[in-house]
Amino acid sequence: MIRLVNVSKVYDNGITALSNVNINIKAGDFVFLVGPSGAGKTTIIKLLIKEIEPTSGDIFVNDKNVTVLKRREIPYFRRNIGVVFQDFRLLPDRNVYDNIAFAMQVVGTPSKEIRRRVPLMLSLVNLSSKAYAYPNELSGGEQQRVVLARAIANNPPVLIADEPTGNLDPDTGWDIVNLLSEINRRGTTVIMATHAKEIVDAMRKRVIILKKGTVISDQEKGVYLDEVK
Amino acid sequence: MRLSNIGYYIKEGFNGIFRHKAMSLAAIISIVIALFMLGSIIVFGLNVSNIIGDMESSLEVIIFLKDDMPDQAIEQLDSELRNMEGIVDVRYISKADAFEKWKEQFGEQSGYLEGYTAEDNPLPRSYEVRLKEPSYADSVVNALNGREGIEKVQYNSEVADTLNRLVTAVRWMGLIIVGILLVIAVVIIMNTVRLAVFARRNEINIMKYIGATNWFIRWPFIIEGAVIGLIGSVLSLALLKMLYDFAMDKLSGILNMVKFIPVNDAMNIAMLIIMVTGIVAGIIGSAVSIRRYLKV
Repeated sequence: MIRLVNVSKVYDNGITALSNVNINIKAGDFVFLVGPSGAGKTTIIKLLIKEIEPTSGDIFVNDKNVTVLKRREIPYFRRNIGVVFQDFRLLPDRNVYDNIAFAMQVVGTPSKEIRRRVPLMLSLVNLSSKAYAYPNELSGGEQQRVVLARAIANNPPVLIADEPTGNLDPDTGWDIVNLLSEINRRGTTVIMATHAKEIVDAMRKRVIILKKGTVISDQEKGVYLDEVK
Repeated sequence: MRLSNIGYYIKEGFNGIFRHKAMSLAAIISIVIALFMLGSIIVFGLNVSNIIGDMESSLEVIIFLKDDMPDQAIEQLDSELRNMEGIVDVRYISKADAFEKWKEQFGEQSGYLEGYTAEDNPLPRSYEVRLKEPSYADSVVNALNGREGIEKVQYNSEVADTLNRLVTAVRWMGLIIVGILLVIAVVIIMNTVRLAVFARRNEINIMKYIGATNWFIRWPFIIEGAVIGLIGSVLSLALLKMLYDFAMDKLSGILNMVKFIPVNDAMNIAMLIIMVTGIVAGIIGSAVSIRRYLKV
């Protein structure tokens, strides 16, 4: 499903973010990507959505080699990946309904189908009553739930979450993780980069630990190793 | 462009204007100002060039006839003048006409014509001929000078030359000023649109993450730019027309011998330039400034 083969990334300023990383993620997996700041978690995510190019190595998503994608193919490629960010990134000038509908308009979904599906997404993330609220009228947890609804609106096979609970209090963070878990249960591959030890330890999912740009541990039903900190 | 998306693009284009009211208003105002300046210069230049043109064409060749010129020769001259190239109007001034004109000009103060009558006076008969353009003056004057029965051919070529040079200068100056203002207007409009796009760079960024194609993001911005350009140009035209009406009203009382271009004619010419500038600058402004935010 997702493979990083001998991937290295050196930024223009000379900082080595990843060196020779190999990761293999099967369809339907739920994977935690952990490690201290600067370990390379965000770099991996940026590589997966082709926001940046690797210095060397190959990246496969849905068995497609991402590194050889042409610029004009990128939008179509990204539609297979739902992305959730720490800072939410909702369109501030549209209400909740339109934010979710927008993701579907982008892929050319007929408006009839959009009208049918958006309420479904809203009820999945428990926000049916806030459909016409604007992002700045929502709490952080609510905003992140809208982002989740948007990310899965087009039924992507992969969902990537970069510190989705980073800006939330623990309880709200758990809401998001439970939703991610539910989404994973329905068949979507989920990759979550995080700092949150309690969540990682409690979930007992696969844990890939990065440190200084290399994978130092990759365990099924793993935990957040203390030495990482 | 996917056809089913056109509705979305147009709707989003208009939504964009209303969602960002302050930004849209700022853009419209600066477009109105830029285009109003442009329009004022166009209308002013058109009028100046028109007035000089009028003065130019009112310059006449006057042909004074000897008193002993036979009627038959006059008739022949008359038909020749009417067929001559470059002549648009031929007027015969009889002794009586000349007498009337003289009296009109000098009134009762003139003692020169005392004792003379309309039929019997020393004033010569003449032809007043209006030329299509001053450039025909030479050929007309040369054809008539020294002819049997003609006393003198009078034409003020110096004035004509000056006017001719003036009208050329005014037209060139006008074109240059309009050109400069056009560039300024385009730059102002494009800059304003760029600010509006800059304010929404995050929005564009997010769209890219969701997998929107560049054109999917671009179209609503382009339509927004065009609509804002259109609104700005219509408003500046309305303002221009109002002020032109007002100025004509005030000025035509003072400068009653000057003929202004009627408001509608002036507007028709200005409208084309202003609307095209407004809309095209709006479109190019958004298309160009959006480009750098699409590279994610």
